[in-house]
Amino acid sequence: MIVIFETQHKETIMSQLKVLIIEDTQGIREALSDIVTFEGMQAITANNGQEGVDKAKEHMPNLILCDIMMPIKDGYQVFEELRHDNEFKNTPFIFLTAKSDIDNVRQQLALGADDDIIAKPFNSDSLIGLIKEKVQTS
Amino acid sequence: MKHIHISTIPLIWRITLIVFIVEIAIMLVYSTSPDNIILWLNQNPVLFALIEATILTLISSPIIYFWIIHPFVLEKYNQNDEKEKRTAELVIANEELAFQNDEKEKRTAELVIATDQLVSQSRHVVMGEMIAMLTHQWKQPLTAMMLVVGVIKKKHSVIEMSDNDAEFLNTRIKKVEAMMVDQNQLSGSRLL
Repeated sequence: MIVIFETQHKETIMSQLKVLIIEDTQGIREALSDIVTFEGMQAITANNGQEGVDKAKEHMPNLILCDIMMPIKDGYQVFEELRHDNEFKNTPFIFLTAKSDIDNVRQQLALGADDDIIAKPFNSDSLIGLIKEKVQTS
Repeated sequence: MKHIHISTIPLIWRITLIVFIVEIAIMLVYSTSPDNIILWLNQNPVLFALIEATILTLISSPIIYFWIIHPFVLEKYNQNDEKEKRTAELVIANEELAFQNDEKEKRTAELVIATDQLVSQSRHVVMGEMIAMLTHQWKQPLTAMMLVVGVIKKKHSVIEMSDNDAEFLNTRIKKVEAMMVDQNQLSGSRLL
């Protein structure tokens, strides 16, 4: 009975979570949206950095999945702009990158404790595991 | 040392002048001598010529030596000394030039090697950038495919179907995943 109650409680929490997906590649963006939705979270999508910043301010997501190399504004610029906004000071970021030198990306971003980077290609289980970890710790 | 050129013509003129003046002086002394001496000398012309030549030689020789020969020899000696000094300087300058030339050749060789290295490094950088770009473009669709397969797997786990259909779908999904793992290894990274 307690187990059922805890599961239902967790599902309720997950359904209230908003995840903003900022990714310019349509196939990846749609697949990420499907996975996030399947896990019971609310997915909001943006296809470039500027749209991502605008949608973040509009929807106030609990977590942001952000690509690095994007048109108009890249992942670095999105991170810098939102980190300077007090509303997003504690919002965890998970960066998605196809770059080989992740250490270099990590240094350039100066990530916080709740932020992380996931290297492309990755599978859905790894991503969901990371999202859940970040949501629980934040 | 200052270089002074002495030609032979002025030297001859100087010697002629000395001989001329000394001869006049001897003649003046002769003309003012007592008559008995003049008479004796006129009676012995050979002896007179011998005495006159001796006096001329004795008086003019030291003058010629100190006024003409000695300065000439000294000047020639100084000129030779100057020449030797200049030659030594030229030898040193020549050696310095040869050394500088060697240095230039060495530096040129080093520059050629450095240029070759830069060209080689530049090629490697361009190749590295091209490979990084290709890898990046390779990973993008692979990521999309892996995520789509992930979505299909999740949907498959909640859709009710017969055991045969479920096994068929599972087998095909595993085959696709295996192919994607192979493709991912080409990009040099590994699945998480």
